[in-house]
Amino acid sequence: MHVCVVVHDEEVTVSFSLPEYTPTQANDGMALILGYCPSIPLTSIKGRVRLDGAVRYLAACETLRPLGVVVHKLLHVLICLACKSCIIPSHMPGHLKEHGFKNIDKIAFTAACERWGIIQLPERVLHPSPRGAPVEILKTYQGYACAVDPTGCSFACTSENWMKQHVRNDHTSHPALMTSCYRSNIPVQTLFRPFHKKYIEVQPALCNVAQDNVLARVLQDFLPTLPLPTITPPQNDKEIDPLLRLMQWHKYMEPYYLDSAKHASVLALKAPARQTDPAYHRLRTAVQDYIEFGIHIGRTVSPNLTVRKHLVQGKHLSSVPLSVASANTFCILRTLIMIL
Amino acid sequence: MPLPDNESPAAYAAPAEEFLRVLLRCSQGHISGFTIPLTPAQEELSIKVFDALLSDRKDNRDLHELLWDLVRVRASATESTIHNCPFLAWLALHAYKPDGTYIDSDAFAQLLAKLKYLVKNICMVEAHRRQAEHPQGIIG
Repeated sequence: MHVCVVVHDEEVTVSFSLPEYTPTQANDGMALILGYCPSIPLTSIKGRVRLDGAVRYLAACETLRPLGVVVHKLLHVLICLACKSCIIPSHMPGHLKEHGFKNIDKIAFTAACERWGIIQLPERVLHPSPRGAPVEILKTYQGYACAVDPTGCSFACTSENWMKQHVRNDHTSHPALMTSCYRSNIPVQTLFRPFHKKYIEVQPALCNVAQDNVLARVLQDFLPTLPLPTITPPQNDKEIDPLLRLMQWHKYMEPYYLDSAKHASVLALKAPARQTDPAYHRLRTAVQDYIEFGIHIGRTVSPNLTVRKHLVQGKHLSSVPLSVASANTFCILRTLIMIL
Repeated sequence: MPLPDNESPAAYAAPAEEFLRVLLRCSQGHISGFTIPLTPAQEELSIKVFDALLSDRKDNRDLHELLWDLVRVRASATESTIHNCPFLAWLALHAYKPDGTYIDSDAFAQLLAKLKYLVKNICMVEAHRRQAEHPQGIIG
């Protein structure tokens, strides 16, 4: 048998042939080549198998077909057609009872599992590499994928809180803006559920696309290695619109859009207050009360009250009369409004 | 002149809230290093406002004193620039969008209208405060 796999982090294609196909040995051999061991963390890209979208990996035999189960020839797992998830062989008798199978020929089933080299322990199963073709049959979910280290971290999940926890715990120097640390609405799959869940980002566009196809190479290999896009400042005044030319915001903010970390941190500066931050959370109420207090004064106080009169005649006379005092602030706003 | 009836104080309060939030975060030392230029007196007032918010005091005197100090003019000869005017510095940040571009003139005009409203409101509260101190006025 000839099996092609790619070690993602080393960017090499490994091929090996076995004179006599013995699936268990094949998988063990593959694990050896890939340096796989059960201690590989959930986020690691090491020890992954690249699926070829153009290859049909599912197979069945006379023993498994009546049970509604197929074999994934490369991953060496059983997939239940009804549940659309992988099943551990030891769980199979109990699982099949849920589907109405009462009498199972355990000897024949065990022999079939051995013949196909089905892996008994879920932690020993080689998972597909991220952003590859989906595993056939398996259910696809909309989830989240880590974006802090696209080439080194493949963590994906279906819960936003779980993703935030991963970013906080596994990427201690992550950008300040949490929403920039992960991507949302990402198609993900997990081989096993509800236990041993390990979500993998998949690329449905790679269904039926060969591994060496340029689309597969771009989506899976090229795009993740690209650096984050940078925004180049305008070279001359003709490149910016009149408003920007007047306000000069681009010059004032230049340090922030040339550095992605600063860009994220300065956006976090104006982010809404969180519930856990009582002072800033109360600020909203305080400002609203203040605005409503001004409205209340305008509605209820004597019409003789004018801003001009009371600012001029107050105890603490302004060093500059109101006509001048507030004029500067008004002047800026009025000028800007007139320009617009 | 009384302020016109306003059916959505929250909408008008939003820019003011964001401005004060940014100002307070900067004065507390934010990781971004962005600064809102404040005078020493304004820095003291911002600390008072922050303390008042922390202690959940309902009195808006500290908030008004800070806002009044920000909108009144100290030296008429000094030209307001983005480097010395708190509002202009904040406007640059407010206009800055996540994609690195800036808000358009339409959105900016609406923001300025809300700021103008805020300035009127501050002046109205200040006038009310001074009237309370001198009901008959000094001149009479």
